Amino acid sequence: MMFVSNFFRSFLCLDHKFVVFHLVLRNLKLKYRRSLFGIVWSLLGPGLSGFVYYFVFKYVVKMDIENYLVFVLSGVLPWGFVTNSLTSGLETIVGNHTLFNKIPLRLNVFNLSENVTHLVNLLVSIPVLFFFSFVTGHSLSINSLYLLPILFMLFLLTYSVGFLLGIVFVYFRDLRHIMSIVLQVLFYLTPIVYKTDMIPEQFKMIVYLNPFGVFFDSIHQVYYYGNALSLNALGIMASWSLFFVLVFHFVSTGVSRRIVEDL
Amino acid sequence: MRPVIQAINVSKSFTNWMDRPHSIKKVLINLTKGKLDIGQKSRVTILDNVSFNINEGEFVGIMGKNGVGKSTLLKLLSGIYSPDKGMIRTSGRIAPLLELGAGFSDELTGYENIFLNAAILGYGRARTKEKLKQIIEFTELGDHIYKPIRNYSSGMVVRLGFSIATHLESQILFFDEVLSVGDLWFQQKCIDKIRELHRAGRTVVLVTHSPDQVRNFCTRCLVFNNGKLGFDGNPDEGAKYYEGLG
Repeated sequence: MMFVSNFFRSFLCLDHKFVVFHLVLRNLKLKYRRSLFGIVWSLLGPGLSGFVYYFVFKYVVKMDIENYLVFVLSGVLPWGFVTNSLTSGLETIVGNHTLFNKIPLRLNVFNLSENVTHLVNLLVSIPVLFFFSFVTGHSLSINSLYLLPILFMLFLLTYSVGFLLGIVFVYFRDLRHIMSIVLQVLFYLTPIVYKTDMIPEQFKMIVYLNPFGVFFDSIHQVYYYGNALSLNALGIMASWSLFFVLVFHFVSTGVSRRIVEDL
Repeated sequence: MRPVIQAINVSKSFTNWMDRPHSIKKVLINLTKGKLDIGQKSRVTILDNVSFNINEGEFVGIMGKNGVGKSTLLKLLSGIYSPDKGMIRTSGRIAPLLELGAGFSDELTGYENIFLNAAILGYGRARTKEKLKQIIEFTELGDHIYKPIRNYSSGMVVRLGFSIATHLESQILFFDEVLSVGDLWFQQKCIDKIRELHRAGRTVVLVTHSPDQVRNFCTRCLVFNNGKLGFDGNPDEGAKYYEGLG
């Protein structure tokens, strides 16, 4: 019981719930202060890359996927969330080092606030996906609701991994460059712009070895195909996120307070 | 008298790294040469087996030469650092004013920053609202309170930071040389405010280099010297001890 309550205290920053609330409020305010423009801006990035992939893979590579725009957008929007979360996870500890040295705050408080903000932005972008689905005549299945648990587990995963990256970044400042390369590689090793079935049998392992693989396959399964979420996929996603959540917990309770002295 | 802060045999040292590699690239290159080089480290002791109690309602001045560990001590008492040996017990909410305006967000208005800063000190929206009028009044910022902080002068930022921290209900307040900022009149106003808080029964810990401040305001003085508590007692004698450190 003790472990569970300690876990939630540190994982959700319960000691600093007001701070998280106000930081998320600040982030959203600054983003949407210029009202409509802010929303357009936050959709433009992933939306534009979606259209570029659509053009390249549909008309240049001539990939044979029906209604490819919906397929690719449903992958690219959550992928934008993943890259944003991991990038801000990397930056938040080093970036706020002056504050950590002046105020007793948990190290994950900024990471949590940034991740919640990114999640809200992702949820705001989902109506855009609905819009293009509607325009292109893609029928929405009730199974799309499975997106909610999938995105929740994805949030747990990126939040935990981002925090761990942030801690490593304190000691190794070239992690930023390494990460941008790794993210680029991961993008192509994850079934985002292509279907899992298209991978030759002997290479299918990459979907399972890559923590994000099954997540994006499942997103396509429930949204694009309208299938129910398989127990198998659920188990794999839950295992990946639980594994990293536990690593996060042991790292944050074990070493993290000392890190302030190394900042 | 109830002790609100107890430091029991507290020691703190820092690790100084020499030539520590700061990139993964460097570590890998070293590994290919067959050696794991993480650099040389040496320990520097800042505080060595320090013990003291601070009772509720005391106004304690902390003095000592630069680098003697005054700020480290406040960070230990605030829970920013943890001691290597010994332990620290505190009871009551602490407002650590180690730097005025720490945690402000440049793009937000002064008004919005009040809520953010109060949240960092542990106060929710409702409790901040109760004190809002007093906080704003004290800053003398007028309509500037509705402008983004990035347009503030450093003095205005300091006024806001000080006002927020001192108007909330924290039982223990730490000030780390923050009185040397702001103009003469605002400094006086801050000192009056701190004394008012002390009269109201709050516990105040002030790090300062001014023997006059210690003589005039404090009820007790701690002077640190070479990692030890060199003096603990009457402010007049403490100020004299500090002046005699030479």
